[in-house]
Amino acid sequence: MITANHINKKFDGIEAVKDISVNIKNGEVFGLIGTNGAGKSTFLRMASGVLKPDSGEILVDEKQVYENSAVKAEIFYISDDQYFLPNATPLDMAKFYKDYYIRFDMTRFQEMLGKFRLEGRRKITTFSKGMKKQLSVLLGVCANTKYMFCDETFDGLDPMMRQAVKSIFAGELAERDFTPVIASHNLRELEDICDSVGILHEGGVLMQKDLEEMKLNIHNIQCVFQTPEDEGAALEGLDLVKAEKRGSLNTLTVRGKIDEIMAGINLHNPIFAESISLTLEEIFISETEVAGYDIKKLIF
Amino acid sequence: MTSKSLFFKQIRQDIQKRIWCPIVIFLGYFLALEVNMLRLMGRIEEDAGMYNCKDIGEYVEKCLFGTDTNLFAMLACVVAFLCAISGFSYLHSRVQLDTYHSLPVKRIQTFWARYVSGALQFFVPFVFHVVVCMVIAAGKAAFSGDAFVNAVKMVGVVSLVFLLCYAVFLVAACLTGNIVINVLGSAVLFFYSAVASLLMSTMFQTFFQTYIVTGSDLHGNMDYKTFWNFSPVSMLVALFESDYTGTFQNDRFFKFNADQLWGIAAAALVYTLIAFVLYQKRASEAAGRAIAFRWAEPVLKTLLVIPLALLSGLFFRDIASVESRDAWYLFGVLFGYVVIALLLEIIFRLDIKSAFGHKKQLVFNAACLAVVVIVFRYDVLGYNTYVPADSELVSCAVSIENLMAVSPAKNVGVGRYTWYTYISAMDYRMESVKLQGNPSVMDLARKAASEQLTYQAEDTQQDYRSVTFGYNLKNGKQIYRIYTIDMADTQTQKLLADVFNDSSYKTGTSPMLNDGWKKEFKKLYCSGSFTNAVLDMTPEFQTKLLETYQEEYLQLDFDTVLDTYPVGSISPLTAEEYEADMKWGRGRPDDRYDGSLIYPQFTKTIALLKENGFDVYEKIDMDEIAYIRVQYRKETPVYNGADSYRTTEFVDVGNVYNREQIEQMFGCLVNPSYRWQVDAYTDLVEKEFDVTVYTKTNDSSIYCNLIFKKGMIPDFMYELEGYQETVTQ
Repeated sequence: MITANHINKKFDGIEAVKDISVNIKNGEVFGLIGTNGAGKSTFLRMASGVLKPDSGEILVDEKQVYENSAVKAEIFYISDDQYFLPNATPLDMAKFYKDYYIRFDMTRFQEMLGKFRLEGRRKITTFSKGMKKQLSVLLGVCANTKYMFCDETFDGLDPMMRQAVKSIFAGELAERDFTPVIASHNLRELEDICDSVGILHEGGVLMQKDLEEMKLNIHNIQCVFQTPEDEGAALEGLDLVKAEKRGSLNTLTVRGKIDEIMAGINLHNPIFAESISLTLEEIFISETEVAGYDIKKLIF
Repeated sequence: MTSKSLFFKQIRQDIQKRIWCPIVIFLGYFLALEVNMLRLMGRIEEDAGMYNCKDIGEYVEKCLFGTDTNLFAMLACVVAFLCAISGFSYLHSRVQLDTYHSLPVKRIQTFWARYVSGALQFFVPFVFHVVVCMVIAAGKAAFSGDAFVNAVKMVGVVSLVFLLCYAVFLVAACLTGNIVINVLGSAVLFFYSAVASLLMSTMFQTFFQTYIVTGSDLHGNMDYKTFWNFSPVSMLVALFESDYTGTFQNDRFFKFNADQLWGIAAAALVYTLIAFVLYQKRASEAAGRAIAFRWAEPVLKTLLVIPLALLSGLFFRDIASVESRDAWYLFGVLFGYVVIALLLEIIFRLDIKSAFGHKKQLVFNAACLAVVVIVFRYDVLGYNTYVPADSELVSCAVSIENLMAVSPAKNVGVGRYTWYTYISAMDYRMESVKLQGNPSVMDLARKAASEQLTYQAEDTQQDYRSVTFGYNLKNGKQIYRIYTIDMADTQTQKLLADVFNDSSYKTGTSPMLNDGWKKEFKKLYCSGSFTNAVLDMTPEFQTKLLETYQEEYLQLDFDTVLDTYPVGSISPLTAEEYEADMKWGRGRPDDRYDGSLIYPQFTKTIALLKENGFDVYEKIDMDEIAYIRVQYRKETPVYNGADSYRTTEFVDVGNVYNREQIEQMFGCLVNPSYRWQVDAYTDLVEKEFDVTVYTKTNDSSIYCNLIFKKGMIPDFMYELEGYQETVTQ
């Protein structure tokens, strides 16, 4: 269990992380979503013991992380720009990490290299960006740590590889106590991987929810009403996150259960009303727009 | 896994990661040790005189593992830089930091693992090459037990130097967040105290006309009074300074200041601890910044900008004309300050737009700089006017500059080659003169300090002279000042005469009287009016001579010195000094310049010398003289567009062959050897003509170069064929 209590971090007077409190349960894939500069990387760097929070505390299994090598032995951190030793091969990197992570599984690493068609004795400097990310994930998985922090690791992986990594994560989750935390601003990358997400915005947490629960509780509705009076009465009864109107067509983002929402709309004799499924991306946009942030310009 | 085994794994990993570093070090010491050794062995085998060694065995023992230590130490500085930069530059890379600091290992352990790794990368190749050199030397039958001891000492000294430099460069690495700034910071820490000392010394010399460095504060040319010794380069200079450098000596391995070794060890330890604390305190987010610690930025800026601005001011002052020096100095300070302050802001922020980012600090540093400039320029603290109260004083050393100065030899080398360094007369006097109970001494000091005379224009200050004071205070301090006095001032002249006539001054300024009783002399160099000789000294002769000379010298008063030209001088030598002189090929007593003057009033001394075989008045046999060459000292005024000065050349004006004329000349000539000891205070000789006596037999006991007494130039000198032509040209 990872618990962050009111953590703050400033860089040169700029608040990178502002009063973040999150709980990440063991055994789930946690997605950390945020705009550029939202504080995702800073949060992960603090959670992995690289940075020390200015205030607040980050506990991993109820213990402080910073300068605690026993706790850090259970964390594998993949930064957004992972470092590899000069002229190292994947096998060199595996030997490097094996010195630090006593449960590092060299046999499995070599097997997985084969599965991912990565050459163990090829210099990493000749790898593509995607191959390096795959290698990082493999190293992290084979380190057999309880927690794995991935900072934008899935950006750049092709769909097949993403699916393969997802399978590995699923396998690890089934077999052992494993909790990956994945930060990304590419929502589509996380949608099919994460169990729950935390949305960071301008250094603070907007929300932290179970993904399925979140999807079930926010909906996109398109509807047309006969009269402006019906329309007004119908919208008044909804927990609106966002409302747009083009001609007579209303496009609404509404919180609540879909049955209850549709029942409320149908009470006011709509000419047309239907629910359109929301992607995680749209949920994110809606939530951040509520906070007054025009996210579209940044993430698409 | 135990952290102990991880520690060694970290060392292994670190060496593997930067394997180029030990390879470069290995090659560097291979060239400096084996290659250099074999090269020089070959040359010594060809020519035994090479490298001051009789054979390769001596070379290995005394040079390779002795005097060459400073070469290996300099190389160790470079190696330390490589080791520190390559081992700790990861602190400047966020990507690397994220990896290393996320690993399950404490930073303390990472620091020491990398520290040990760097030290091993120096130590192992260095010791390996030293051992190989020993094996090669042993193979050539040129290795001995003494050589082994010297090799061990050399490894110890060089390793200590490495550890000091390594620690300093680690401080720079931990203090900075950027590789370029790290390199600059390393240079600053490496040289700071030396440059700051030089600046302080120059500031004192420039603005305090009474500033003088003497005695224990001066080693070689190093001003130790203002010598700060906390940067490696300063410590290395102190370790290998001239008095202690391993200039070849047969009887010992390698002379260095052992106290400095302790100092270096202590400094290495302190710098290592500083680096360790900085490493621990350093935040990971500091990577990429210029300076890792925000609090350090203003401190560093102030410590850099003020000295550099002052150096800039001194530079512009130095290249300016005399009249406009102050203005150029101010310009230089201001220009240097603005440029350096803004440059530092830009460097520290890595952004040109941040040049004026810290206006408050710009103002603060400017205010500090202004205070320093004013304090020095206007002597706000009263440095020049300081004279201790009589109640603070134990004794006072005085040196009347350029009057009867004798520079005693200090033996520094005995062996195949023996040589001397000479202590300056002023240094000697500051140590040996201890005046007490003579009110004129402090009256002279107070008068000189209050008048604050300075040499500026030669023409109007011909009577200005210098007197150095060394105040020995009750609190144990020695404070030195040099004052300019005006000999045209009768009161000053009277006070000076009182000082000179003080018996403590006379014995204190005479090495022969001051130290002679404690030595056993073997030879006596004697110089007279026209001849010289070397006498053998017996203990009885020595005692008698010292007693007689002291009695007459103490009766010599200042007025007599002003009016009388000396007739001779004596220099007693110990057996060791005489041997050294012989080895250096000194055949003539007048080669030495530490003679004690003999005045015509010293009748008993003159008689004693005559009794022992030397007559100071001995004339040259006229039959011996072939001819006399006469030269005229021609001065030509020159103006180079900025300054006016005079050039001097000696022009041949003719030869004198006529015996009568030669006899007439000899009645007017004196030995110029004593002139420099009294010339500043007397006007007893003519400077127009120089004469050179050419003898038929080339007798080395005759002084060939002579000058005329004041007002005694024979008329026929002006009638010589070349004179009119030269003067009217």
